[in-house]
Amino acid sequence: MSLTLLQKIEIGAVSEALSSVDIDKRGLYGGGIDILLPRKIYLLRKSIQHLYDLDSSDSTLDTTTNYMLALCGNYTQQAQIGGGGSVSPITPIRFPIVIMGANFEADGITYNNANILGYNLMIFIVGYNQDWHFSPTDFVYTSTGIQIIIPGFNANNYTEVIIQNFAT
Amino acid sequence: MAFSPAFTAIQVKSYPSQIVITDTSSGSDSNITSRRVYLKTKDNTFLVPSGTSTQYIVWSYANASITIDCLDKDYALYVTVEWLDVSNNILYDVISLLGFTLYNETFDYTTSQLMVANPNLINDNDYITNKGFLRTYIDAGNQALTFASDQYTAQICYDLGTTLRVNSQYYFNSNA
Repeated sequence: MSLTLLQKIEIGAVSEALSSVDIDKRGLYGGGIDILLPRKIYLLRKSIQHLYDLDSSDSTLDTTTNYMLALCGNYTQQAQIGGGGSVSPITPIRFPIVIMGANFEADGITYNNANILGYNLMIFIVGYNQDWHFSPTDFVYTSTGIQIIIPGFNANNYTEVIIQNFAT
Repeated sequence: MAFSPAFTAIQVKSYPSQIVITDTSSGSDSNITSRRVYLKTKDNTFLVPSGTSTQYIVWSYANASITIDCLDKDYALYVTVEWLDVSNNILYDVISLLGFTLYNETFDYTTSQLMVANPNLINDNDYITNKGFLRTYIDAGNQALTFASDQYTAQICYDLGTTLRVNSQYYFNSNA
C-alpha cells in the first residue's frame, strides 16, 4: 500500500526523533551515522509541511517527500512499526482482599471486581470453617469476578471473606 | 443576535505579496456600513497597496473578503479591522498580531527542491547550515509572536531570514 503525503510527513517527523536517539545511543561520532541527520530531516520536513498545509495537491510534493523519506532510511520502517499505540493503565491490586456481605451482589454469592480477573484465587470464609476454599469445588470464576457455589452460602451471614491469590 | 466581530488573515501559495482577509463575524448590526484595515509594522508605519494615500485600506462591506497586495518581504504586522457606521465612527474593532512568512517559507521549500535536484547538497555543510539558519529565523519569528506577542523581535527574525533569501547566491550554492 502506498503511503499518503501526510503519512510520509509524519514518518519524517518520527524519524527525526528516532535518528536522534539512535545517534545518542551509539556514542562517539554517532557510531558513524551523520550526526546532522535529524536536523536535515527536520529542515526538509518543515518546508514540506508548510507547503502541504498551504496546498496539499502541489505537484512537487511527491518528489520532495520521497527524497525526505529516502533520507530517513531505516528509520522509516521503525517509524511505521513502532507506531506507539496506547497502553491501558493497570490498576495495581494487593492481596489479600478482605470483603464483607455488602461487597457482594444482592444474591450474596457473586462478587464482581475486574481487578481480580486472571489471578489464581482461594477464599477463606471467616466463621464458616478453618479451610481455604478453591475453584471449581467451592467457587467458580466468572467474566466479572467470582461466584461462591457452596450450598446454602450467603456472604451476609458471615463476618468477612478473605480472597488470596496463589502461584501455580 | 449581537454582532461579534472577527476576521482571518492568510496568505495564498504563489502570492507572497498578498494578504487575504476574510470577515468571519457573527450576528448583525444594521449600523455598519463599511470597514477599514490597518497593517502596522514594527516601525509604526502602515503598509498599503501602491496608489493608496491613506494609512488604511477601505474594505467594502459588501465583500466578505479582501485581497491586499502590499508585502515586499515577510512581516510581523498588527492587523486591525474596524467596522464603521455611515459617519465613519468606529463601532467595533479587532486587532491581531500576525506573521506573514510566505516569502521565506517559499524560498525554504525551494532550497529543499534544490537538494532533491542535486543530492550532493546534503553533504554541503554551508548549504545545510544556512538552511538551518533560515528555518530557525522563521520559527523564532513565529514563536516571538505566539509566545510573547513580540512584534519587534519577530520582525528582526524575519528580516534575518530575508537577508539569507535575497543574498541566496552567497549562502546557498546550488552547484555544490
